[in-house]
Amino acid sequence: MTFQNRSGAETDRDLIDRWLAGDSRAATALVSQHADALARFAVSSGEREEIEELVQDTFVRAFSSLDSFRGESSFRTWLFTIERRLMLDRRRSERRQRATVEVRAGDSATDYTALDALLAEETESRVRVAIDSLSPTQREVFTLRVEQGLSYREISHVVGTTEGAARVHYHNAMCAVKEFLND
Amino acid sequence: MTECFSPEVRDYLPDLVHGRLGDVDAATLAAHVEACEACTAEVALLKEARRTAPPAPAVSIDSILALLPVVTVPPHVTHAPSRSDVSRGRSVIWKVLAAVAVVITGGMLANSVNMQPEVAVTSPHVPAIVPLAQATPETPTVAGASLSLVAGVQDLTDAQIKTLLAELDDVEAIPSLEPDQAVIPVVDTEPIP
Repeated sequence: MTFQNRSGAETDRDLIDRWLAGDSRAATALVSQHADALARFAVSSGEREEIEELVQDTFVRAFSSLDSFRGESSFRTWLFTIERRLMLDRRRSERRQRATVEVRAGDSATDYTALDALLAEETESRVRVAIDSLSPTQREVFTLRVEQGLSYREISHVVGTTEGAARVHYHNAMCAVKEFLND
Repeated sequence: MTECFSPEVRDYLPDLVHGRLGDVDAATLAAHVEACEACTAEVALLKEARRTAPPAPAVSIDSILALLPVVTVPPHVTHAPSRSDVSRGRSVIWKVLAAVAVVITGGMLANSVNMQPEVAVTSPHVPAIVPLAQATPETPTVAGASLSLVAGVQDLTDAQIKTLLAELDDVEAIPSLEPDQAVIPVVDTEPIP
């Protein structure tokens, strides 16, 4: 059994063409349409600080190379791909910085993580805790599929994997969540 | 809980929750979910996952737009002519028309001189141009006037040529429709303390 997805890519394509032709109002429409989704994706991926800066950087990068956007994926998928790369760059940079101060702040960081987890259990539902306990890749695929509504093909573009691998990651994530809830 | 008898359908449950399916597909899938206990539970789980998604901070659209690169307009895109462009175009047309009018008037004048030799073109400063046959010792004549005006000008004295040019400068064949530019004199004023 197969089902056809609705697609809003044509509208985005029109707006992109209008912007490239000099219509600056098209940028307003594009940013308004996708800014919130980018912010949600960043938060769901574990980002907690400077979300707005991350979304800004994503749009700046996207519009700077908009003439190279070929439309093989939807515009939103392309934005997610750019944002994901920025998040990975940011995490690499943070890891490097953390490594330099690890000796001084190591113990307090452990305390904070435990307290943070306790607060999370109190304030969030068990479903959220189950999702947060997934591996990074599973959580990323699950978030893109469930919270953003992307297809497996679109997820494969964002994550940089195959459509089949994205499908497997999603089903493994769903099984892990169900197991967590049944325990 | 019983397992779903068509597990491939579960692939599309997130699309159903997000409303990304067409009306017919959505109705088909919804009918399946209603009859399948496992899929009903999974749809509930998906909705709960969406509902409990961490809230994202509000993002300022204006601050993003302010950072975006400037729109580059391709060179082949034409723009509407400005008022100065239109004014310049009209000015050129009037200049061409004025030149044509001067040539036609000059030609008609030369013809009238040839057709009516008894009427001399007179001027208080310039000697009349009359045919050589009617020239008298009292009437200053221009040699070759019956052939062309240009040939006659060659024989004028410097003073006469200057007078003629001064009179020509005063003649305006077609008045300009454009207003003269206002000249505002710059007056030295006391500096503002």
